[in-house]
Amino acid sequence: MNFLQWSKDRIVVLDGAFGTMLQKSVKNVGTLPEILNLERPDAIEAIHRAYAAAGADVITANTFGANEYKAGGRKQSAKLVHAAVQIARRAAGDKFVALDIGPLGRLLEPMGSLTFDAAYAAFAAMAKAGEAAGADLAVVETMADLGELKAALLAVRENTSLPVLCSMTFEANGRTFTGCAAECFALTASPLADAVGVNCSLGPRQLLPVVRAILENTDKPVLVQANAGLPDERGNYDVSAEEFAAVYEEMLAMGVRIVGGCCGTTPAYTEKLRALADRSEPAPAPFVRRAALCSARRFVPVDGVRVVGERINPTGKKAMKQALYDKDYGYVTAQALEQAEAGADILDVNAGLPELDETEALTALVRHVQNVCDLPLQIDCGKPEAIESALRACTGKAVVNSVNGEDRVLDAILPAVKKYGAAVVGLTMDERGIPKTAEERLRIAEKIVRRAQNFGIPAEDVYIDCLTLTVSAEQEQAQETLKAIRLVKEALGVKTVLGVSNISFGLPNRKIVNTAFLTGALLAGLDLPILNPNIPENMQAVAACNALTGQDKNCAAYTRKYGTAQAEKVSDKAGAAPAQGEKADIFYCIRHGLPEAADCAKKLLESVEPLALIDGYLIPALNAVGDGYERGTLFLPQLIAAAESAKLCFAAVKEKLGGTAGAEKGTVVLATVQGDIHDIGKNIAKTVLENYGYKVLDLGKNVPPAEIVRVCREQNIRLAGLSALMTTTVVHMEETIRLLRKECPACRVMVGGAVLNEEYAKKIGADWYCKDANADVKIAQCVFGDGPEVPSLR
Amino acid sequence: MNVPRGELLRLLGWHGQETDGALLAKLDEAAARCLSFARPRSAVRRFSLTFLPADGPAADGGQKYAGVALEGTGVVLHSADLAAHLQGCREAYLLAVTIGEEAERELLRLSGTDMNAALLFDAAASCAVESYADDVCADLAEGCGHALTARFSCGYGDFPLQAQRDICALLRTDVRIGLCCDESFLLTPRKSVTAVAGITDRSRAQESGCAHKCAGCAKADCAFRQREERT
Repeated sequence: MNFLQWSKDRIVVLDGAFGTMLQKSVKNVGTLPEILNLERPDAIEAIHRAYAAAGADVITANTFGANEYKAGGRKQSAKLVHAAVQIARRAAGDKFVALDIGPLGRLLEPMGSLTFDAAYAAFAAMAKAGEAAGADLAVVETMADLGELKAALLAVRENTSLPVLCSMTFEANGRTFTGCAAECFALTASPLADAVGVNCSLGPRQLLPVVRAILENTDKPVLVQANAGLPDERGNYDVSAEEFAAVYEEMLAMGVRIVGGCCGTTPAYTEKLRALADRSEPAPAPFVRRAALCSARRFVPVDGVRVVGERINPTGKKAMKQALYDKDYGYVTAQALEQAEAGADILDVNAGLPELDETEALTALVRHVQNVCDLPLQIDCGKPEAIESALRACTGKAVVNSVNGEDRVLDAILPAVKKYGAAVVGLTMDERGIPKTAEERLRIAEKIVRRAQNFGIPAEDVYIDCLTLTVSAEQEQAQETLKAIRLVKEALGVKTVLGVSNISFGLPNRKIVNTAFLTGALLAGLDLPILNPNIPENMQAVAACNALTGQDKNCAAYTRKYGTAQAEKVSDKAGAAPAQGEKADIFYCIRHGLPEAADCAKKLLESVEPLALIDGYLIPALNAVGDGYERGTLFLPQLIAAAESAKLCFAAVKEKLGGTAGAEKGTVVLATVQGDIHDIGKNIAKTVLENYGYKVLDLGKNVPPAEIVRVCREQNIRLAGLSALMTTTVVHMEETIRLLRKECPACRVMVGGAVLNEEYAKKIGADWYCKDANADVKIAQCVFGDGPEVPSLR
Repeated sequence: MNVPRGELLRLLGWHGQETDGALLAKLDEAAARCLSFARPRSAVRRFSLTFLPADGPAADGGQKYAGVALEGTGVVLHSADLAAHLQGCREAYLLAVTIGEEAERELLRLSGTDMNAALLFDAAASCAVESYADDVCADLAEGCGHALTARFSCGYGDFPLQAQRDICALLRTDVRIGLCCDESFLLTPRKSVTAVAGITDRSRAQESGCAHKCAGCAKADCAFRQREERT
């Protein structure tokens, strides 16, 4: 019998807590309860039988923690899963048997060191073992990380034919431990699961708001497995079976379809739920489809103008191009944060560069941006393979930009959009090019919407781009674009998106034309302008249009933002008063870590050559600070504050030199070694080294030895700095050094970290031990010939 | 939970250097920011202890122990130093605390925009989790009516980091408080603590001041070592 067919028109009852029951019947449960599948199958079976007798439709096998990370290897995992499913099958009779999949017990990157692919592989192995052993369905539950949940759902779907239900665990604030909001969960998980819901953490009453949020945002059946309230000191729960079932009655009326229990519940609770299910009919859920995007932590309904930040795109941007070639994701994430700060609602990510593996680069962009920034993403790419990979990496609901009216393009890209439940931008052009008239563009838009619907993508998830042409070349086309937006809104009612700045190409003072066109487009019905949010005029036009169209009720947001003219003046740096007194002295400013150092530098640059400013002022100032740190008259925050203010001066120098670095003295590779995610020390070293004019290739944290060696070899690196916190991760440091010696004999290695000292550093084969943030500068100066010899350990 | 300025300065390696108002303001800002992002959570279980004898007598001629077993779990914490620390206790609390992932995320953000703020935030988060662990222990002492020994964590003395895996499993920290132990036996989110605190037979009223946290550690050259007199 197929679970999905069977459950279609009825209320489904899942069983209840397993651990709670196990504690009562087995003495030494230990750290891995699943081992009892082998040692005490009788005890496991008895619990299943009790739930089956109480009326559960689904018996959940004892496999919650039977993954390779908790079980100690993939073989053992498969063995425990196999035994568990067989026991459950024996006890279940004609009931369904579910493979239970809990979290892996490791945090995914960037908070932990587990990669998405490794998590996927672990879940896939478990799912395959479960299906082979005869499970009827899989239940992914008690998840806190949306990324981990996504890995589990994909693993089940792509490796088995099992239906898969899923639930996350929420706190009273409606978020999981990792900050994932209920709406974001529903939006992201629904396309990949057969039912979505909530389990554990709270009693049923406290879960009601979360349940409602999920119901409103999913087209799938909703499941609830609440705790029996909250535990007291002895582990007794405070909600009785009667109270429990009473709240579930409310939930069924709200539209919940699958019910069960979590911690603290027993077969007595299941009996009550059984009785409730038997006298209830499925109620309609309050779901209304609407256009929305999300990350794990931010839900963005497209119910007004939403700004798409366009800066993470190398086209015509030298620095971004270089950053992508160098894999300098620090630059990229800074761009993300700057746009978020400026008011973007969605971030465009684009990695389209010749000689760059777009699949790899785009996926890396997605991962790095979502690590630091909560905004949903627009995957800006036309290659199906790269799009699929980026969507896979994206924790949330993204929009893909783009398809057009060509069948070939639609057929290639829409399947991935459908699979991951993304939205998609449709360009109103096809193999014949961009139509001249608005009416023809509307016809293409209609085709795209229809074709998307054929693939199962609702019209709410199709955003139409009526295309901006350059007004200096084709003057009449500006009006056609605006007209097309109006037509598309009226005829199809879908959301519209438009890249704006192309309009002014080739004209002087482009901002003026851009702002006017943007305003016109917004008033014509544009929902998602793609623009640079760092340009104030752009955001001003958006705010003004929101006020004019009544979307900004009572002009409240506009007034809040632009009400105090004073506020803007203050932020206008050009108008700042010149620094006076001590603050006019660049040495004083750097020593005290003051931002005014930049003003001093700019002033000095009027009379001093840029390179002379570096050698005559900045480096001596930094040296003085470094010496003070070494003597102990200054401590770390003062050193770093000085470095940060010197950085502003270097930026001024760079600007004067026309964007070229000019004074780069050598390249240093820095990395926190494999298995270690503690990177504050490495980041401090980076800050200080950069200030002395060294280029730092920061490979990040948890970096495998082979990756460090690859970069050092490919770029002929002469100095690498490695960081590790504890003895358990120093082993990877040692391994990295060994590999470097073999493959990059010219590269010298400095190491630092909490447990290291000179002796330990020597033992693992390093050239130098860095006792603090200043030591690496001395070593770099020695290696690159700018300073005296630093005695090596070798 | 709080972030005492003295502790914060100690973690930042302060040894009496001259500080100015701007720096102190930044410290206070980091502390406030950290507390606003902290989502402290704890998981605790109480266990009866069985001391496992070691070969040969202790230095003072008394019985020497190789570790303690936690009753009803089959788990043994192998550490002579831990056993010595818990000597005389029949029971102990196993505890795990974290200030959560959001603080970690904020730190990640700061690391990309303002390194000095990141440095201060990182130190403040360390202070916060220590302070929160103290609060949890104080609450436990209050609740059970007995004084607790000082917290003893993996990595202290010969108590191996590897034991962190068992502690997390026994407390089910991954699903209860979102705390995991990675393949290097380090905790994630990073600003987290696991520890054992023995339940003594002294009542809380009789409790005398116990030694400072660093007293049990052999790394005498540590830059962060707490001096005898607390700042």
